[in-house]
Amino acid sequence: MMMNSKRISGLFICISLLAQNVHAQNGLQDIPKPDLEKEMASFSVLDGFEINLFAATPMLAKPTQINFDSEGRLWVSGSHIYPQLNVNEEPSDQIVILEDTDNDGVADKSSIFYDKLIIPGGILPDNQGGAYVANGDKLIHLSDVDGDGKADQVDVLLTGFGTEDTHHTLHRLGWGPGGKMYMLQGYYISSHVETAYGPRHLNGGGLWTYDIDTRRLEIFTKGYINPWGHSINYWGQSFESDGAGTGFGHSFPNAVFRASPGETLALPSLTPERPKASGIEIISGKHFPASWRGDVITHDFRAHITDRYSLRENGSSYEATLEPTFLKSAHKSFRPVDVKMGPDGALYIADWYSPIIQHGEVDFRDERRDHQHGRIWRITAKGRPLVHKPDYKESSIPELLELLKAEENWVRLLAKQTLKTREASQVMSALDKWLGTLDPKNADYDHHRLEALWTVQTLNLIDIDLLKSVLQSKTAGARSAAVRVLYYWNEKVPDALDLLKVAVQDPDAVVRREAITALSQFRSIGAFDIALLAYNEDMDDSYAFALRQTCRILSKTWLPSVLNSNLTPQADDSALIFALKSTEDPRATQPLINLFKNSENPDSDILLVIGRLGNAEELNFLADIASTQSSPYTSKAANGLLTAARDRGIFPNENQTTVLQNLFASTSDDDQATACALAGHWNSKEYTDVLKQNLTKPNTSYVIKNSAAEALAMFGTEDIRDFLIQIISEDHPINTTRLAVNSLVQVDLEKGIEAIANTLSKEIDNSTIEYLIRRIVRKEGAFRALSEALEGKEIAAETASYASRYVQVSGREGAEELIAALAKAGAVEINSARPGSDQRTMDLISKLETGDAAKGKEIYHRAQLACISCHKLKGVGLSDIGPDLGSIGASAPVDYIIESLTEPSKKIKEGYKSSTITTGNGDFYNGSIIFEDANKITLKTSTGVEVSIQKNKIKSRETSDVSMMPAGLTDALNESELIDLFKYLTELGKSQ
Amino acid sequence: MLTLGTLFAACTPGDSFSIKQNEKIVFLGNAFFENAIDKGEIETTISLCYPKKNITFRNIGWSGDNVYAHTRTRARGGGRFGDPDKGFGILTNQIIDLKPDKIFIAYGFNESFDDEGGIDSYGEGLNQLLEMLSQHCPELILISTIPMETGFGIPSEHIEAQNEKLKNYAEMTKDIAINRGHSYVDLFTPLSKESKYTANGIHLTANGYRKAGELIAQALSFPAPAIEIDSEKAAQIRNTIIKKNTLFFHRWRPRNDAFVYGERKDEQRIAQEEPAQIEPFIAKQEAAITLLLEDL
Repeated sequence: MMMNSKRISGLFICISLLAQNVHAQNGLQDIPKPDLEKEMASFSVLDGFEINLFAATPMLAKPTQINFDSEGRLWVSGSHIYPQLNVNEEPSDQIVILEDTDNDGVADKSSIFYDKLIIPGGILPDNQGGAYVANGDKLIHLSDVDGDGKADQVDVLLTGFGTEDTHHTLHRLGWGPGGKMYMLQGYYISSHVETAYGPRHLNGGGLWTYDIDTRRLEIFTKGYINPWGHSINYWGQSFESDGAGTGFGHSFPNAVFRASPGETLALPSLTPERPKASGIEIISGKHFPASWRGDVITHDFRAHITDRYSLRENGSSYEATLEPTFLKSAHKSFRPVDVKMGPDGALYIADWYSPIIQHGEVDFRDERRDHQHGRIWRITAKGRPLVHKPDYKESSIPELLELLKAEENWVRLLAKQTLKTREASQVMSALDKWLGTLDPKNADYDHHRLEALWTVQTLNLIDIDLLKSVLQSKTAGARSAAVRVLYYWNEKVPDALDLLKVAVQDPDAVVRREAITALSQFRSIGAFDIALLAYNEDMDDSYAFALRQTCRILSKTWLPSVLNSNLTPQADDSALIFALKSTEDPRATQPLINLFKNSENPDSDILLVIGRLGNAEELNFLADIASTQSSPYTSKAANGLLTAARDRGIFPNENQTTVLQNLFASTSDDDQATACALAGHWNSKEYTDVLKQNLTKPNTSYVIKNSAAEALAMFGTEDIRDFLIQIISEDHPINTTRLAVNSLVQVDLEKGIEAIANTLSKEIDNSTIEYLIRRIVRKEGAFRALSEALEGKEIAAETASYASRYVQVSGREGAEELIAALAKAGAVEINSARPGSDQRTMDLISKLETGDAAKGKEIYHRAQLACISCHKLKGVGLSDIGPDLGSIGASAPVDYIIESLTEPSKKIKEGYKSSTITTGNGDFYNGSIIFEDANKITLKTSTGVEVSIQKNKIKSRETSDVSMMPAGLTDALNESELIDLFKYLTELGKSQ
Repeated sequence: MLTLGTLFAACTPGDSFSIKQNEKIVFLGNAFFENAIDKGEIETTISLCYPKKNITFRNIGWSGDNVYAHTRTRARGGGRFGDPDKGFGILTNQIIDLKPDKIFIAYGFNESFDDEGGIDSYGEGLNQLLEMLSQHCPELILISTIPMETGFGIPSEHIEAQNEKLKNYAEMTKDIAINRGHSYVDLFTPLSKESKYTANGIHLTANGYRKAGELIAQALSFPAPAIEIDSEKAAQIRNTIIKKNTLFFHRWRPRNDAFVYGERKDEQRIAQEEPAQIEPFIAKQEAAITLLLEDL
């Protein structure tokens, strides 16, 4: 073999042919000793604050949630069993109560309340000596009947929560200001809970509300992957943190966030650029600086950081701004998972304490998982006095009512919880008196009255006069919170719809959004009419989402009326069009067509909706428009027709020819491309000559050529096959040849592969090589066929090497054979002598100290390495095909990072697993599913291209074990460069 | 002695109920059976009435389930969440694996909340379910819905309205049982007489399950139990049954199911192997139960 030695180094193909089934973890012990002093010393806290240890093991083990009771005791749910119960192991996870009896900011007493749990995800004291616990598939209540400080009675309240994934099972319990209990579940959980009001089914993540008194369980929001925190602000608005890529967001009833199965639309979070968050708390009270009031505290647990965000109202939702880092640690086991304001006004942080945080990506039995330790840290503001702890139990009803004026959110909450334990009639009469004593000039007057309303709600009573009066508050926050109460009281309030009719026209967008959502509770056309009043042209995301949901929920009542033409909407047509589009119900297409016809200036998006949902007859309406010369809606109508043909295989049964004539006559490239595609889907054989011309005619735009080539392939006749073979053999621009090869592969695989082999032996650029190989990656048996076709051919060494990379990435059958054939044809050496993977990882780790992170950064950004073409760093970058690496160093063990690069398929991040789909005609797609509904699946492939596949064309689908990250990307690096790169990656996110 | 209530528990068109040596009994349904796992009462009653038969019990009740087995798909491969319509196939395969000799079936609670027309869908689904089960099991016993109980903060008008529906579902279950020649046990009528059997208005307490066991024994004319159901020995047997049930639950529906059977099963080698390792422990508990019963 003739090789220029300088060229060889860049061309070497290192291929791991060693199918060693060595387990990924290899005894790395770069684990810090669980030394408290060391962790303490690792903290840097924002100026003006200090941190101290409140409690540590053995006083508690591995905290999953912390919550204070009205006596100021800290209840901790913990799990040493996590991540998985051992075979035949008895439940032994604990609820622990920590007390600081001498008020010095350090716990001095710890008692085990209960110890027969399996990975409890949440704890909420009932303030009467017992507690609610999220215990896997059950919500239970523990009580201490004999008063010895230990639970002696277990009541099961709810069963049927999903068990599929222990970092997603039921967790994080908390009280809302109106007395409801909130609780969360994460992705991979299918819950089927039977209640007295019917079964409640929730697939995927979501926030539940549970009314202890009436045993009513409802879904509050859906979505998020790892929703590990929920907190409620001064005006009763909810915020959820997400540990899987969206930071935290603003929640309200019916809201849906990403990754909720079966949902077609999701709201964005408030911090899309901050990928991970666990635990969330809203700052309140006198101990923290006044300017911090209302700010959000949440943990970037991967990066060992506790962050603060300031919040500002923005339309009907909020805007969050990241403030200077509040707390960070250089200790790799510091894992802040929960955060709560404590009775003294300080901030308490639950530290899970483990170097390993991945749930699935690291083995459940990995020895580096810490099963013992756990810490509670306490942060105070220097020089500012702590706040007084009220004695709720000993307080009279009037004294408890006075506590509703407290600045501390938790004081007001615990006062209401305590009032709930008192005689309701006495509370109500005292409340009346208290309301009379309030000074309307006081700045917090409206909030005090809102607290009174929340007290009534907490007692599960109704006070319609008070509700009406709070609805008329001067402060918008009080009005919006009162509307939320109306959401819950709904039909119990006789003139509720009149009240909501006022509220949907409130000057404040938050109030209007709350009113829209409240209307979803009323199953009447009247409610729908009122909701439409809230429609306007400039709705923000949350507002439009709320309206969409209400229209959908109420569609059972109003859509039949629209269909029977009984509905005389008291709103303009654009609102009704919005409602009809919201339903995503095929029955809505005919009314939409009527509205389009009757409008002088119709909403052209209707045409796309008809394309998505309409039947053949309804598509005739699109065909009618698309065949009309000089209609301003031709393009949209044609796109609607194409959507119907491509995604659902449904065609109009009239006017096909005139549509094509009209579109082919258009001066727009896009229209002509659509015409080509439609000719293919509709099997309009009379257009084959036009399509042939469009593919070969010089100066035709690429979109048209591409569409023409694809359409030709759909015919699949011998005539087309021969035409394509001829085009490939002629001297056309490479773009034309490529498209012809692609189509030939679809029509006649054998001939197509022959054409690929021939084209590879020409002088071609890298993008063409990649293009050609990708054609057959999708085809069964094609690699072997190409290997044979390459027999006796000569190709350029660069071509062989470049092609091999893509062959290898595919992981498909016959890859090794094809790589060998490419190497032979290209006269390239193959080096399969890569060292055993575990040994190599160990070597690299031992040399990591010598790495230079600055050089590594330069290497990371090299275009050839392609890191930046798929990964972002803290939200910054070109594409989100791969996970954001912004804090990879802080979150992942070193061996995990190294193996992710050297052997991508060994470590596939949750959510980046690719799916393989094979269609009836043998096409093969690999990518991550980004959308799926009843008709189609949309995949994002490793090149970032989105492909939609009609479900009825799918033959098989499976989750792939092959990473979308190409293997061998780092093979061109020498060892020292490799070590620099790893050094850089392992530092990412560790310091800011 | 089992105290046979004076209440009438209706049954049974088919042949009289009998149990042969080494039979396997499966409990199938919604939370009526899933919640029975850690009570063990019905199973204890049957065991005490047939102590020498070495019966194997498998409880595959699933909270929220309906006659179409919609809840049984979990977060399974293919779609990230299984298509509810695949639940029926999953159940079918499980029944084929289990090879039961008798199946006690309790559905209807969840369906009773469906809109009008729901009851027809229930009837259709129940017939389809019984058709399938009959192909793999010689004897099916249908259990009625149970009435909702007042209290627990649930509005009484809601309970009244719902009980009307639950009664209709019980009637429908009975009609289908009679038509198809299966045994039917009416718990609805006797449990309607008193409001003291549920923990939350809809699900039975341990005492409620004991009552249900008694009513089933009466309806199917079980022989008298070998010992008193409230004796210490019975408690010992019951606790062993609960332990066995719990182990089987972890075997069948383990925590981290997604990594064991589902979408993420390729990620965890050790976890995948562990549920199967529970089986010898289940066998051990079963041997202990057999021994305790043989000693009676």
